[in-house]
Amino acid sequence: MLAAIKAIDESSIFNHVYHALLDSHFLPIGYPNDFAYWIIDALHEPVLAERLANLDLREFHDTEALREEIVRIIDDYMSMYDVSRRADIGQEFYFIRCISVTFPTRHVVTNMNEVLETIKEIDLDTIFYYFIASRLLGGEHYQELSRWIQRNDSHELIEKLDNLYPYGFANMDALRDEIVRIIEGYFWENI
Amino acid sequence: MNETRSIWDYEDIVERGLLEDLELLAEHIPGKVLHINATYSGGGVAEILSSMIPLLKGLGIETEWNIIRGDDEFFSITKTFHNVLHGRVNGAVEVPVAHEPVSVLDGLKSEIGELAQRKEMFETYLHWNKVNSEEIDLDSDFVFIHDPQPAALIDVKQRGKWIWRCHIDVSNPDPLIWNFLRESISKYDASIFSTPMFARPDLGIREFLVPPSIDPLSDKNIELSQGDIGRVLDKYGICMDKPIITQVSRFDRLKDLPGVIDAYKLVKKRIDCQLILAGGVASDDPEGMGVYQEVMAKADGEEDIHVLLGSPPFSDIEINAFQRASTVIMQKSLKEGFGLVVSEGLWKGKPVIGGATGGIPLQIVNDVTGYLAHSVDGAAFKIANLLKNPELARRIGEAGKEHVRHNFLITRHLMDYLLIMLSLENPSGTIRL
Repeated sequence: MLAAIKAIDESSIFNHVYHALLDSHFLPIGYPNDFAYWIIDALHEPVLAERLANLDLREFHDTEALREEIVRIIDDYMSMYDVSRRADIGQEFYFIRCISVTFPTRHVVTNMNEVLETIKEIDLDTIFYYFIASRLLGGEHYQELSRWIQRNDSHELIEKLDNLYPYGFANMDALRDEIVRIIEGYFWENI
Repeated sequence: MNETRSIWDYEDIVERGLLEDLELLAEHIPGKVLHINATYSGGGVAEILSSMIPLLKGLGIETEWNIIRGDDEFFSITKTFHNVLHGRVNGAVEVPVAHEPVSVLDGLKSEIGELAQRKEMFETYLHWNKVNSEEIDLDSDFVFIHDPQPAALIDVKQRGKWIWRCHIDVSNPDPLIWNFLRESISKYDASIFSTPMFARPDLGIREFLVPPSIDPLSDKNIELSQGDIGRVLDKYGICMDKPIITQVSRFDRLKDLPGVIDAYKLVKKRIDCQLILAGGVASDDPEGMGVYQEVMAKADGEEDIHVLLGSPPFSDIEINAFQRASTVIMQKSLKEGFGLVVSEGLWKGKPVIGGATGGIPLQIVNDVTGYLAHSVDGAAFKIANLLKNPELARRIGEAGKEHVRHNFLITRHLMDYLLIMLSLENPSGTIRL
């Protein structure tokens, strides 16, 4: 796996770390990326799985940096422990690339109230794009949203949104609820 | 098929945002889309296309659906292709000896041996593909060819993007047949498989992953009233006075119907319940009637075991009613393709217990959206647990329904196809519209 992680297309790294966030879950997932999940499920290495599960995605602004950190964690672990176990037949890890398709939606906003109302109803893929994926994929659109909110409101709200930790939510609906809570809370504080 | 359907018919079922996105993406699909498979009715592929084609048209995309023709010999050959590609020969399927007096393995090996000696089979296959290529207008911007039967149509490709959509598990095929088909398949622009487990590493073309789907508005899945359900059960002499355990599947050894009866019998000692085994016998499956007779013998006339042979096949509404009348649904397969019948059961909010094989574990997240059983005892334990705990059964059923809503409905499938077409038009990994 380590050799493949070092060599694979970066869209595959993105896919295996982030897609679980978009999937629907009923409970917060214990191992929130595919690498961590496979390492506990197929190789039964809980310590390494927990280290990979604990990646703080807010620290990464490009996929290469994320790849380097994953490689560092696995390398460190393998230098200390024997990880010679092979996955059983049927439990192999399949590396999958993903394709990013971005397109304008029909939603256009002109003030913060409209932002709030739009976030409440917009497709969850859009929430994922602005608040999670965009930060990693160059950050262009998230920064655009940040700048827009700053111009229309304040630095404090952006700080709160920036600090939002995307892991640990049961699903994207729960993340959306948290974003709405932050914005509504900010409105209440600033009435 | 000239029927069209609006995606907004699904407004009460899936998120509005998804439907808006489908409309936006459809505006960017250039030209005409053509789907070709082997039949307009019967089987999962025809079922999906029956729902998919009207929706593509409803989105304003010019779409056609054609089927190929051939003689009995051609379809007998393609059925053999299907069997030996489907990983049945070396698939490490352990069919319990008590249920398997005749070796499937020996039969198939002999079948392959015959194939090797009969080169004319390949010639017949290519002949009928050529005949169809002359009769069907293949001039389209996107051509989706489903499964092996029409795969060699690619040989006359003039233009457009051609996609081979594989609905079966070809991860462990007979090499003779696979190598023959691969010559054609590797000429496609891309292929689509249902899961990475079913895919091939040796095609040399782009491979996309798209799981199959069910249509919540089809007769097989649409809401039914208690009256409708009751009428169907009355027709088959089934009274809803005790919990019902159901497996809907063909009479096929790999569905482990004897195992389902054994599990039921273990439960019946503790909890009064009844069992429905409803299915048909595939016309091209010589073993089907034998399996049905074995199942009848095993049921041994017990009045609470209802072995229902659909001949003619059950209507979709009848299957829907059997599933909706159930307290627990089983799909205790020993080997399975994707096993979409699991999603049908989950969509009805029923707890489903399935074998851990093929695509079933993708649909059943163990202990969350259903249960995976590895043995008769395991299945019996889970059934009893669900019958004794209606609240648990309700919770598992609800979670299963949500899992299907997000992952296995036709609207998601439609989105995947639109994205693949866009991706083939824009080969880079990042597409901005």
